[in-house]
Amino acid sequence: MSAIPPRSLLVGIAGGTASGKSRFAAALAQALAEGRPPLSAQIIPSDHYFRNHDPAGPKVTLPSGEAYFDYNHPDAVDHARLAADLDRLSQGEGAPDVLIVEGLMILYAPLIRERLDLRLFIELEADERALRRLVRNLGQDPIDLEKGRWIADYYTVSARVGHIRYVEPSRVYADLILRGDGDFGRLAPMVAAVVRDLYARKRSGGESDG
Amino acid sequence: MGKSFIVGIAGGSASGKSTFAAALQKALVEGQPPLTVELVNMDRYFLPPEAGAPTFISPSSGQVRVDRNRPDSADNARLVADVRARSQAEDAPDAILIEGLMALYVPEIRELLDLRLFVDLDADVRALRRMLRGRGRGPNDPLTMERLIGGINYYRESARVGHQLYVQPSMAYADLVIRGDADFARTADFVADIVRARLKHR
Repeated sequence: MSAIPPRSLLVGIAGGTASGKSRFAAALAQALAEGRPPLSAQIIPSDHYFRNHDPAGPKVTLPSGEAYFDYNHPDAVDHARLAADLDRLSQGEGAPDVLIVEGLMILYAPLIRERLDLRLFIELEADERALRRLVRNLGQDPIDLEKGRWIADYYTVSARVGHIRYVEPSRVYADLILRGDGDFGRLAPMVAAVVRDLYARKRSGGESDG
Repeated sequence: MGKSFIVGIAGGSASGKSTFAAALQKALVEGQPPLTVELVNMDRYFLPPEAGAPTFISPSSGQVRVDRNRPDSADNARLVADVRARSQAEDAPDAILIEGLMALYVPEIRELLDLRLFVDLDADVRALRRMLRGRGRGPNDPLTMERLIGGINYYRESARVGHQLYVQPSMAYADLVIRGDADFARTADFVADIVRARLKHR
């Protein structure tokens, strides 16, 4: 008796905070849908698996002394539940052609990394990411400087540390590294061509086995 | 040879140069023996646009902007003349601290220095500090999103470029590198010890 082979191709996108992961995931899904042959894609952000309500979740201490959930630690995400969902979603009737999973620790976490057919890393300089993140998190006009300083403090104790310890080193696992300030309209179709080729090979391999 | 011991403090934007210069001044003035110290902020020598300050066309706005992140952004000759004059005056201070982006990059300034310091801090932390300094902003002068984006664009188009081209490479000339996020009360005392020891040997 043989296990049912997973039907969806699994593409993982890792990269630092505000590097452009989710924007690239969207561009890739669009390029897959629009190219020949069109492939259906479903995007799964690992952010949907944060354990931020789990009292045992990782914490950091801010300069103010306040303890806060550490979103930039590998344990911040329930990777076991994410892996189980990937297994479930990639099999069966309604499975998309391609599952795109994106998040900080997608290449760091072995449970996810080992399932991937294609591993991507989006890279962008830390100062640019820090500024993008600041603007994104401030979100109000005029700006509340107090809030800005909190964002900067949290970046310094959590995002920056997690990036240096876990995210940046995980780029060694990448098949392809893309610039986060690249023209995604150009880059996404290139990566889509790679995905299409992998998908075709996976299918023909599956058919010859069957 | 001047009478004053001249210390240069270079480093990136928002690395902590001014804060360190102030901490060093305090350590020199308050330590034993107490020394007289004068502070020279290179920002006060920036050339105004009418005096030939370098400019660039901002890719984000299309407007001509003054570039304050180049070696020729300041009147270096006047700065050197001023420091020379003070260091050789009758009432010359024991130490002169020159603080600015290009203190180690500009050869005429670098050659004046008896001690070369560089305050080093990673670009992401500096970028956030720079944007949130909020100098001179009160309730009637809030930081708007438009102003923040303008500041970020100037950082991208001028500060980061000047940093990579001139400021960071000039760290090679430093006698000592100080972390911009260190406890300056501690490190300033160490540097003050060095200044005192060197003054004794003159």
